[in-house]
Amino acid sequence: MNFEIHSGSKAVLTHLSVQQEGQEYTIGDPLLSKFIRVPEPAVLVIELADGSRTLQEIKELLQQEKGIDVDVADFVAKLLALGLVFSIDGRKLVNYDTSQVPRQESWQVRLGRILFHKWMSRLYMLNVVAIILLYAFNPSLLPHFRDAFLLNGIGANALLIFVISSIQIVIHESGHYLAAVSRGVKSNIRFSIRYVFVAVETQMTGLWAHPKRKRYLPYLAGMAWDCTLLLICLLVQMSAIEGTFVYGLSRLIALALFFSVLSQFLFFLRTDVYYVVVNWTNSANLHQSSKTFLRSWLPYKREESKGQWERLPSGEKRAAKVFSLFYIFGFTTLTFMIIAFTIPASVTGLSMAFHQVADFAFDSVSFWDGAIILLLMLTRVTLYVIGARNVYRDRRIRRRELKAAGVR
Amino acid sequence: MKFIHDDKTLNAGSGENAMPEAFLLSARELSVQHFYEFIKKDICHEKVTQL
Repeated sequence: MNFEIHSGSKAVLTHLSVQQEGQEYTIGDPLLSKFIRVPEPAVLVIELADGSRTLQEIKELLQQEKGIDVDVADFVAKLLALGLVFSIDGRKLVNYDTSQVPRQESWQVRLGRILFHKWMSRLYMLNVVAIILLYAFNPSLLPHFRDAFLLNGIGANALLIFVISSIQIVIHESGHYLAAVSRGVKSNIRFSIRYVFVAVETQMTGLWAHPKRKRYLPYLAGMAWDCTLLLICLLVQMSAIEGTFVYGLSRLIALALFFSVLSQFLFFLRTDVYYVVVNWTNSANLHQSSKTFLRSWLPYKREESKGQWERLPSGEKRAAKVFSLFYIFGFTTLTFMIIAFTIPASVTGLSMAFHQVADFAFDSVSFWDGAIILLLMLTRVTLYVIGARNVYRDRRIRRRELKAAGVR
Repeated sequence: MKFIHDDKTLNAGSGENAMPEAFLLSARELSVQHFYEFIKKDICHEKVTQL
């Protein structure tokens, strides 16, 4: 659909959400999960663009009442390119797919409201305090790497860990999902990748339409549930007899949860804690801004990156400089660990598993132990491909939209 | 898009920063490989050789 935006056009923008983020504002369409950062005068335009005034009238009004001279037609043209204009001259332009919008009466929304009621969030905080106290007064509860080996046989252990980790991930992501939908945010869970790791992620971009302080609970919902389950596991350990399967299983689950919570602090991998930092610093795209900062020091695309860096708001620059230090340190460490440990361990493990399958009889335990390792490796590779496809698709859509809007 | 609106444009951000990032809250699995170095020299080695 091609539209000529001119000073006589009447646009409706009042459907857009507006949230203040420090000196800037995030505006966007929650139903499309599409947002953009703008300075304050843009918000004044949105408030006036209710379809009753032409763009020229809005421009003059802003000039007379606020003393601001802005190119309203240019702004609306760019919003149009991003699909953020509701109508032009009475012609409706947005086409919503409401199938993913949470219905108020749905069980997910009702359950989410109960589980993420403000009283429940206090209970989650108490759980964290209880875990710290239990570990402090009973250090034997702290997880140990031996807890990962509950069963005899590497393959059987790997399978058990895979199953437990998968269940734990589903619970973690369900926490994010229910917290998001209880606030009316369109949300879905899918496979993705973080650096070289397969990850499961909950998409809840619609939270940009909500006030800053109300985003923290959906961000921390997964960790809140991890901590609740961890507390249950610790209580089971304290009441179960040492050496029993229940005791061993509770230690294994506690290890997986402990690992999951700690992993969230690797915030350079854009974990849950990263989004808390993004919210706290009023950043729009801390990860991207840090990359822009680092690129401005490299020969590759230096001038382009420098130009982009110069145009960033000062608050974003400040946060990005600090984050880029963590980014360099984190990725260097992680890359070293992958090269020094993960790759050799994987190669050795795979080689052992391959020999077990090749050398032992079909009805032997060793054959199946090796076969499980190979099967799990194949599953991870498949999930990585699915995750990589989702990431690639997201990037393509994002670049297309930014290009259409003339972003430099 | 320019953040500074001295040229009368109203659009914030720069490059990919113009559009706030997607909120993609993630979790990843605990892999037995993280413990593999210990496997070779510890309890599980014994367990495997027993098999």
